[in-house]
Amino acid sequence: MFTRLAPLLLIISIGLAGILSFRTPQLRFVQDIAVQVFAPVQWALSGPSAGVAEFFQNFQGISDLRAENARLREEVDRLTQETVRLPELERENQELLAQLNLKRSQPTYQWITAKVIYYDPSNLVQSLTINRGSKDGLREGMTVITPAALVGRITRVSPATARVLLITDASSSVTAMIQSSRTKGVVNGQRREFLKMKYIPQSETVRTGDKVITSGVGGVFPEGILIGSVTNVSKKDTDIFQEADIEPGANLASLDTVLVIINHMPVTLD
Amino acid sequence: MAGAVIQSTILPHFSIWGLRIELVLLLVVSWSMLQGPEAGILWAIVGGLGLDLFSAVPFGTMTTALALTSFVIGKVGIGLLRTNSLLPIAMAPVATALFNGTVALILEGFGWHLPWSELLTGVILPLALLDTVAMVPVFGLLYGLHSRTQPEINW
Repeated sequence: MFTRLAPLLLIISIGLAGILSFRTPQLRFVQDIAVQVFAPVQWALSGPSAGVAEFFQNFQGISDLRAENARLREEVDRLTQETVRLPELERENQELLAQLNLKRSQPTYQWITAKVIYYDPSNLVQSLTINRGSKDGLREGMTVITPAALVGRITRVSPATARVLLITDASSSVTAMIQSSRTKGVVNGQRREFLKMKYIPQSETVRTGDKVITSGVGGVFPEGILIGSVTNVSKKDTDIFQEADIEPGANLASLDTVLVIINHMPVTLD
Repeated sequence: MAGAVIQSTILPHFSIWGLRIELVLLLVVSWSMLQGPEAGILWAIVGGLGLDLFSAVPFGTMTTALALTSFVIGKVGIGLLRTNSLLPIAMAPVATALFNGTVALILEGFGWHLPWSELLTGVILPLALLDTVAMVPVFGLLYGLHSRTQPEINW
């Protein structure tokens, strides 16, 4: 009986001794001695244990760091994408705003947007190719513009692409007029970045900075689209007509997006 | 072909005076001067077909003009290369004038009416200057490539 109760009695007596030592300050010295005796052993044991624990903690930490690193990399990638996308969105926003303004100023025209794929590689021909074609409803002769000004007209259409002859090409002629005075003439391409307005009557006054717009005469281009501004006037008394150099209103050498007017077709004699 | 793609897509955005550097022409005549007119013609046909694919001019115009230019410049330039390796760069304006003049003549033959005086002063002369400047890195690059692959030039 006593043998069976011995472990229980031992535990109770240790417990009581602990309580007594805690409650009885006089017995604390026993505890202090015990601490002093076992401290080196504890320290010796706790060092490696802490190391092992730290090793496992570090192991866990590395795993966490890896996850954190992957998350941060994703964040950096996302932010990099954002920095690339933001200027594009800003540019797109500006283009849409320009189109909206054009829609307000030219409410009768309907257009579709097209991307410029490539320019003609020859310097003798001023043309470009866009990523819209007959399957998008484009036809030869349709007018191509930017929100800023006239670009040219479509001269060839395939199902997926269309070729645009720029107004700067020497074979291009646009019936035009000075916006302020309604003086009429013809704007020809010069195979360079400038245009020439010919057949302006000598009696008319043309000034530098005057806006030149399409007159609509002949029915090839719709009326009232900006072509450019007068930069120089050549007037000789011996000539019947005077001429003016025109700077195109659109940057024709570096176009990304253009608009094709789809509800105006050139008038033909047929 | 890559040169034709670059010439029609990237170079227009770097045009000067409204003109674009003729990369394919410079590559072809450089190779023709380094390897001889016969090798140059092969490059001219491939490069010319690339240009013809992207151009509004009648198909074959660029190939013909480029092959002729390549042959003539190759014949003259390979002799100059013996005296001074930089002299072929001086052939760039000749190549520009010959190539564009040939294209213009072919276009006239097809009924295109070209303003010749404006073409000369507004296109060919400024373009000759641009092409000469661009010829320096283009010829230098091909000369380096040629020296690595074939250290001894076969005259």
